[in-house]
Amino acid sequence: MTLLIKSKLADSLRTVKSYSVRAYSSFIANVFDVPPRLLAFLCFLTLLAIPICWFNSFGGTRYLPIFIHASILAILGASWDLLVGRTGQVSLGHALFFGIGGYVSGILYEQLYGFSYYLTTSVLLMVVLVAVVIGVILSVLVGLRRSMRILLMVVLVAVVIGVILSVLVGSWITIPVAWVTVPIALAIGTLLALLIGLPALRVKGPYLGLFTLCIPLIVQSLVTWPPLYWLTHADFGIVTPQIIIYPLGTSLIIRKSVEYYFTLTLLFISAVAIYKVAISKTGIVFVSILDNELAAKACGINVTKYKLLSFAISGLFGVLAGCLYSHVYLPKVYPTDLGLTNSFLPIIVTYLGGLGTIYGPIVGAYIYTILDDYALPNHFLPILRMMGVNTPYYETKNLIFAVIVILLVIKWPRGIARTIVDKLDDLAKPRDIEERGPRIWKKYKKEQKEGRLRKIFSRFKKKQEEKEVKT
Amino acid sequence: MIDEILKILIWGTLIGGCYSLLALGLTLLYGVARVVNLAHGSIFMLGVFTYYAFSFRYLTLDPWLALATAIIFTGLLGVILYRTTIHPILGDEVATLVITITLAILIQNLVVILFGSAKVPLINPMGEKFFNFLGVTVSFTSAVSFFLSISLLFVVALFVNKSKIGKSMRAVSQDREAAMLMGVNVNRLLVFVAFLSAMLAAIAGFMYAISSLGYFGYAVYYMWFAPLTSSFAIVILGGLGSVKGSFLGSFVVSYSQQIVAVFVPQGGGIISLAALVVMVAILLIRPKGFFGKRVEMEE
Repeated sequence: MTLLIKSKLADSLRTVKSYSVRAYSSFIANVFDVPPRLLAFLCFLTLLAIPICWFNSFGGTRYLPIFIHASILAILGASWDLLVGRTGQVSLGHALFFGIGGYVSGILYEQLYGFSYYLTTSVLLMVVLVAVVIGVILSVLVGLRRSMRILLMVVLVAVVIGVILSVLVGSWITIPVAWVTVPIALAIGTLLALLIGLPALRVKGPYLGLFTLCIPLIVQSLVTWPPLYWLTHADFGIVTPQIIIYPLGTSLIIRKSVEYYFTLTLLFISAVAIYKVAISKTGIVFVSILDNELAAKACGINVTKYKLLSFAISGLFGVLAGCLYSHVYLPKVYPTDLGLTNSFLPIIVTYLGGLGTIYGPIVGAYIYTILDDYALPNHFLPILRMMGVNTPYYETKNLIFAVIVILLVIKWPRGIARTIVDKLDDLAKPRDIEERGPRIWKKYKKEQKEGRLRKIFSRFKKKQEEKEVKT
Repeated sequence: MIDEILKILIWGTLIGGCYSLLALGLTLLYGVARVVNLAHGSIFMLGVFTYYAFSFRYLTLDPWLALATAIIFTGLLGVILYRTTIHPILGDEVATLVITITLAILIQNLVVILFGSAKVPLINPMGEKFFNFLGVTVSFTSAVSFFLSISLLFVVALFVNKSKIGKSMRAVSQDREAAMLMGVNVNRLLVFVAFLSAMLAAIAGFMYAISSLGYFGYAVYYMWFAPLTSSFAIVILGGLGSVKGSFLGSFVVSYSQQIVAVFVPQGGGIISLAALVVMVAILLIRPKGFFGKRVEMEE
């Protein structure tokens, strides 16, 4: 009897184990099921930094900020691309997301925490509670799956218990303030993106573009409005809390390389996340909205929900990029972060890489940043100066990029990255190789094909013989 | 209180005239070509700066002659910009928005490179005089600009309604293919509309910059944005493509802006907020505006 039970138990355990293993492996496969080229590009970037990081004489402290900036812009561009290239909701105001994160975080840092570096756990948990409540509201609004909602509720209950416990026991762990203010900024930014998405339900095309164009500039005028000086310090900007607090005496190269890898990790996570969204069922629905909204509606798709979802995801990653810019790249946030130039950045970056591909903006961001931070000021500007043109750099640069974007939109809307990828795809096709390759290669291919055919034929024959034997 | 209300009414009316000219160009271009021109504000600014260049900076023409030259020059520039950038991607909404905003940035930076980022003074051909009207100080220039813009509006409305080109404009805005079948040369018409809209923008810009309606006789590189916002609020209020709607909307927007400027402490800096609030409210209540879509380009 006991033996039987034991064997049954073992059986069930085995099945559970195999299921869990399968689930785990499928999860892993899902997470890493990104296009190999995107993965390869990100790995290349990681490797690229190593020589720059570890040889200070090579000028690591000088060149690393360029790559940090590029990673941040890549996140911004990818989020813009998801909204515009994949869903067709034109946003000309991503500067709002870029600037608002730093402002929320900085205002909380100054007004609530009074510039203290560390924070006690109980406060943290209170704040996480607020964030989770916002998340639950959002999930109900957007209509997440039931399992996800249950998960959120469980987290909520756990956080409530945690808060009670921490209040009872007292505060014993301290963490940097930024770890609290940045998630709040992300939550508020997502909420704001949803609010901006609300008019998008009724407003289409040009009207939406105008609407999104105006909002960051209006926020900018509010930020510089004299009666709000006590809160925002107008043109002087707000100091934001540090995300990574280094021990005293850390060398600059170490700091920069830590920042570099931090932003690169976040770029990796967000690029993979955005790409996963874009190729998932949701992403297909986004594309259907882009192609024909009426047809999507007729197919029974809840267009409202998916538009809001697109805005929320895009806003979340936009705010993430902004937070990285104002916390890691600069320690401050200025009203100019909300300006028109920052709304223009994701447009440049995306059109350089190629609209509608998530990997395009990443490539575009690196090209743009290397041009903007390194090549133009170091090599192009001296030439201009030698020619006797004494123009300010910032305006010249904007002029050049405006011309580039106009040319790209009119003449080459596919962009650099997309063209290269399409070429690679063309090369990878066997038919094309046969057509283009030398004669020997053609012959070889032909033989191979015939061989394959013969093999298939023989297998077919064998099967038929087996059938005959059976009958 | 009565003083303030009078101030709002008089200033609002004067500025409304200028805005309606600006919005008219925008709405004509949208009605005929279906292009939302985000660079309209920049063309407005280009008009002012070409006047500055012709009258003071590069040539020292007589102010009136310089004004006439600047208006025609800006119209030609508008045509060139239209043909080179907007025409190749006609019909693609995302690309149009991206191209026009890029043009706006391009023109702003070009202006900074050519004329510097400081305020530059403009020559006022009418001279600066003030008179008292119902207890409100009104500058002579702004009153003249108001009457000029209203008369121009009527001329344009008459042109759109009566002339052959105006009739073909209305036909194209109603049904492009049918108009083409009836023998309207759409491409040439679009060039003409781009010219007209750029010219109107230049006239509005000159009035806005020279008088106390806007910049009190100065020109700056960032002067394109506030008028653009308000003109878009106007056009959205009246419905894109409707001449009558843009005329009424311009007064609503200018009155609301004056209310903010007078009643909110230090409200001068957030005038564009009023336009935005109007715009958002209209977008949420009635996205097509009050005269949009149903009757297009009628008077």
